[in-house]
Amino acid sequence: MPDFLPKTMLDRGTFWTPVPDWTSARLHGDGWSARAVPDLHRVLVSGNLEAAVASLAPGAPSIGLWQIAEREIHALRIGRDRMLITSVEPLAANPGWNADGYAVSLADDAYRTVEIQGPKLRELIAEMSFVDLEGRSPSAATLVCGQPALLHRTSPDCARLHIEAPLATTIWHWLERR
Amino acid sequence: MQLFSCPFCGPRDETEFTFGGEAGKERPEPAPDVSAEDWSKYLHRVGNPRGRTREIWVHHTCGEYFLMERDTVSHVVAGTQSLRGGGA
Repeated sequence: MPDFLPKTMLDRGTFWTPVPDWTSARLHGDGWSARAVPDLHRVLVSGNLEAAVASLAPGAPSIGLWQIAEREIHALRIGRDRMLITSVEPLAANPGWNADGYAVSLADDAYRTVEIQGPKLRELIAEMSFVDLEGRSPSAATLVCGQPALLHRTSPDCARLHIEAPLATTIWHWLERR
Repeated sequence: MQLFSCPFCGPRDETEFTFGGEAGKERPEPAPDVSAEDWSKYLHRVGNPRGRTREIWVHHTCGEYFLMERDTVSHVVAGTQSLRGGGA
């Protein structure tokens, strides 16, 4: 390569934000802390959500924006006919079309989940998103730091963000610089 | 900042929405008989009215396409309606 070209052309990797170790990443801020939630199982379902939840997460309520999901299986509403189901234990889901009228896509690695908690949680989220947390929106999907994400809580002072994996580093980097 | 109301999600910030086109356009059919001029007119010619207008928008965080009636001068939104029932 000619000498007049910048050496950075040899390795474009140096331009990208380092990806955190999603198995152990943690941050501590003023009044809040964040951690990556590893090993969460996820499936995306589309179509007849009532039938899908009855099969994959019996009894789990549809969780909308900022709503509290208390069980270990969370049925997070994305849209009118689309949902992300997350679980600590593996989900008994077969990918593809189901005769009951819904489609299942395995999504274990499609998302990263970041859990944020602490007394200043609300102030932090207010900086990250324009959305009205008290609006009782049935959809947990919104924009966080400009990126699409699902936002809900597991307790009054503990929120979870489910972010499409390629975009998660952006939000984590925002938190690092906060 | 302006709030638009998604028929499914409720009021959300304008940054979550994308303009999808003018409402009421009918695709010329049958396709093999449509001239290049008519196809180009369908794709590219828009009324761009001043004042009250009916438009298709998409709330891209939830994927909902819907009809929105708004004023292009005052930016006042008269209402939104799901496309599930048709009519756009």
